[in-house]
Amino acid sequence: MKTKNRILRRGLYAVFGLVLTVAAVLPGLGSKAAAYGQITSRSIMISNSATSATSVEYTIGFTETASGIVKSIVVDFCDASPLYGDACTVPGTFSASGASLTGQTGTSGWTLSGATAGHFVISGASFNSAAAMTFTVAGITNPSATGSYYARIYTYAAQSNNYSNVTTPGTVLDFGGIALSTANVISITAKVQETLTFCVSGAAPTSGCGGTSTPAVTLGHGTPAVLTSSQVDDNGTTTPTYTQLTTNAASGAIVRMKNSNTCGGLSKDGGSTCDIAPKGSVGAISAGTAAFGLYVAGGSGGTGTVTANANYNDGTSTHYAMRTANVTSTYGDPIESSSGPVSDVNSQLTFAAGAASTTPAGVYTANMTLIATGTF
Amino acid sequence: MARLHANLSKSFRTLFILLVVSLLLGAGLFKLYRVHAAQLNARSVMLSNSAVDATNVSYEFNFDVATAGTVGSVKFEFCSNSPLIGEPCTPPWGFDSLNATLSSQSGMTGFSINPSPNVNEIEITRVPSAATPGAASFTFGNIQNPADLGSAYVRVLTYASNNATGPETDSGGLAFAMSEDVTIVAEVPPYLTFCSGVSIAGFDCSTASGDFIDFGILSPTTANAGQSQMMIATNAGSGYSVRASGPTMTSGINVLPTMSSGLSQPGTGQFGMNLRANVLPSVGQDTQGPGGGQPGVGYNVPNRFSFNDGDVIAGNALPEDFRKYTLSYIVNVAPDQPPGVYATTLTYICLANF
Amino acid sequence: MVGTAPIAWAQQSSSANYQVNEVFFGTGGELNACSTNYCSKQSAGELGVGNSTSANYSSQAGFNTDRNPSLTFIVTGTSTDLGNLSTTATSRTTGTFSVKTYLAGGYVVQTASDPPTSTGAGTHTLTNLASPTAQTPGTEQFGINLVANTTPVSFGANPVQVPSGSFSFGAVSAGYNTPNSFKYVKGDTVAYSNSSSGETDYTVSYIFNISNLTPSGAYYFNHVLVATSTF
Repeated sequence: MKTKNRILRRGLYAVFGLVLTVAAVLPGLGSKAAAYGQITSRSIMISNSATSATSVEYTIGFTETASGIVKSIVVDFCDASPLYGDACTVPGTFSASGASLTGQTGTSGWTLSGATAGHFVISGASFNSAAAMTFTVAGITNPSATGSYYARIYTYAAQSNNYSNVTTPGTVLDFGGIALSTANVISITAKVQETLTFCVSGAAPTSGCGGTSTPAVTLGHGTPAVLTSSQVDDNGTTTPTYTQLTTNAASGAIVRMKNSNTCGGLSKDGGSTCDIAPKGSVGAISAGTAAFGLYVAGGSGGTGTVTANANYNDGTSTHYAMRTANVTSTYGDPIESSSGPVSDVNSQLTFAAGAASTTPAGVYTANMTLIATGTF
Repeated sequence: MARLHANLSKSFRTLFILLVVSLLLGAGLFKLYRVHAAQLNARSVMLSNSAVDATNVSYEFNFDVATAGTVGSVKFEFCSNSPLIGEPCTPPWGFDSLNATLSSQSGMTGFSINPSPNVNEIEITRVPSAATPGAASFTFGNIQNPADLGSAYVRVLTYASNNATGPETDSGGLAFAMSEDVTIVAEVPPYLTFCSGVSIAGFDCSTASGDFIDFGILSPTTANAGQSQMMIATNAGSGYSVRASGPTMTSGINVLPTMSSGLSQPGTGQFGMNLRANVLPSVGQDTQGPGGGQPGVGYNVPNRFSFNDGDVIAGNALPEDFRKYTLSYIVNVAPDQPPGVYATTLTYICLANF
Repeated sequence: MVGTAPIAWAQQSSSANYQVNEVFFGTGGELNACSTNYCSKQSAGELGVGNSTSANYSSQAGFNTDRNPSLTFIVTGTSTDLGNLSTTATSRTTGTFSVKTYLAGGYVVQTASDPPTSTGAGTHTLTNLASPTAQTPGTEQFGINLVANTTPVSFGANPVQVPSGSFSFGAVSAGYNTPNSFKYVKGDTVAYSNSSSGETDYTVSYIFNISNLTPSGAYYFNHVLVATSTF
């Protein structure tokens, strides 16, 4: 019992002694003076947080509050700690060895030097304290791991400072640690399919080739409509014809026209001969001349531009063309086109014909095929 | 009370320091984005005919090869629903490329058709060899178009293998459209313009005037002459003919004999006509106008005259563009011609052959 | 009894824009008391404990506060394929990230990516919404917001404070905080806190619309978010 109490009492005394000792000694234990102030309002904004990203810009911003004059700063990058004097390992594959100073505000004329994998120095003419500064450093490679990493910023009064290494940074004016973070990337993919919508109609199409009707052109005048040598007739108001083009082809689309008659004009014998000949190059058809041609008005409405081919539109709406060799070629003659995507653009096609006094009587026909080709 | 935090080692301190850990919470491995074959740029398909169900249609494909490397085959897959590589493909209704032919190739050559069992697929093959990035073109013939109006699609894929298996090297989608033809109809009606008179000004039938020629007192010493005109225009494809119908000059039972390509002989009973400019006697004009019609046989020689009821006196085997004929008449009598008023009525009939 | 002359710690507070990170108020204490092999944080005589905040300031006080500034930024790395975009319907998806920062004056989260762009020759970038705009099928649009949406469908979520709004103060920036309206400008701040903050979980809502004119192709959007703390 006594022993127990004695032991207990001894233990208590030991504790109290220890406490007193600690209380007395503690203020003196390890009291090192780190004679630097703190860099305030400090941050590093990175242009890309993706791991292993290259050519990343780091914009170092801070407000210097030192009463002295700052002439250089050192930046160290560490994987585990922003604290002054702690050990520092360059984070993963992080590299500032290719760093270059590309911008600075609040001062001017500073340069970057001494760039290594995890370290660089920026120095120049002094700037006064209590000023907000930014330095933009480009050419940095991010760490390869997601997560936090750190930067340590030291300021010096000497342009050529006495920084030695991360644990011996020299005569530091002010210091500040910063946490940064890489992060994963949210990836989204989507597809836009190629589209080409093209229709030919006897009525002006509405959006999306709505409201179309089978085009059927009758050329002539009077009732019943006949072609005579007294005038040239067209289908502009009687049996109009329209095309509508919608496509997202990046390089636009071309509309070509083919004539089913190998002679290129209007024929009453299935295309072997054309007593109403193709007009040829663009121009007027005179009354009393047997000729067949087309005028293309060019696009209207919708979005985007469809341009009439100059061979079928010379600026005069009563000039027509029908180029024999082209409208009878394998793929036809271009009559209109766009240089980029278009949506719901209509174009009116006006066919015209005239007969001569010697144009043999009969019913003349032609089948015009219109083909749209997009370049994606 | 003081409280000690003993950091026994650097590693322990590291653990003690607040660690920030980024957690990969996505399911499975994290991928930045899917790997895609390179895209065939500047790609297009041009058709020789956009009519539904059209046969023997040519399809010309143009595109830029994007990737340098080995190409052994190219596949063209036609779909009605989507151009997107990897999506299900519905063959266009009515489309048939089973008998397609490779009619031309450029840029990337040496290919031949590899017969496909699929009606909507064309596959071309060669010994795998290097492809140089740049423009390529392939034209296929003998294809049957889809049966439906509207848009359809093609997927073009290149492969390193020679049988379109394995991963594609480059690819791209295309869209094309079936559309309606425009039918043009024009009717040229048949017409025949024919008029006659003693005179016709220009080529205007509205100026035709006069229907009576008076030869005056017939003399056995001098030929009596007169003239009239007629004008014709027609689009009859096989031309026209004009006949003269009527008797010779007659007075009661007394008649003047008709001529048959004869010369005028005063003192001899004669009645005849021609459609030429004459000197003996001086009467008539040659045919005028842009048309091509000519006087008929027997009536086409100056100074020689004929008349036979029903003869074709003028005509053209082709459509006529305004032709004016001048008819020259002569009357001669013998010294012993019985007196009287000799007359005749001639009717001219123009028949157009359409 | 042993006594040594104490060596003064250099101050860590500043004037004017006052910032205090690690100081002690009491009868004794060391922020970083070290011997050859050991270091310790020491305090004696605790005058105050806990976290206190105002609109723009916060402090950690007490027996044992962490002295390491930190930024925790976690983006849920996902890969989403929206498939075929349509002119008749909006395509939508979401992504998430969380932010927590300690001993900081706050943080900002900025979006650092170009809008969705196609590859290959003739590359095209979807039109970004420069101001908060409702989604319109048939009109080319790309935009995001960070709030819960209700019309025409419900998707997305408001920020969640973890464990609660007493400890976490993250907020969505103006322009990205209107339900059913979307915006995207590269470089914009989309989320922020004006002080140290516990964890805030954010949900990014994405909308994609195309028009008849939108060129074909595969469009990629690798959304890089950058979190920056000011210490």
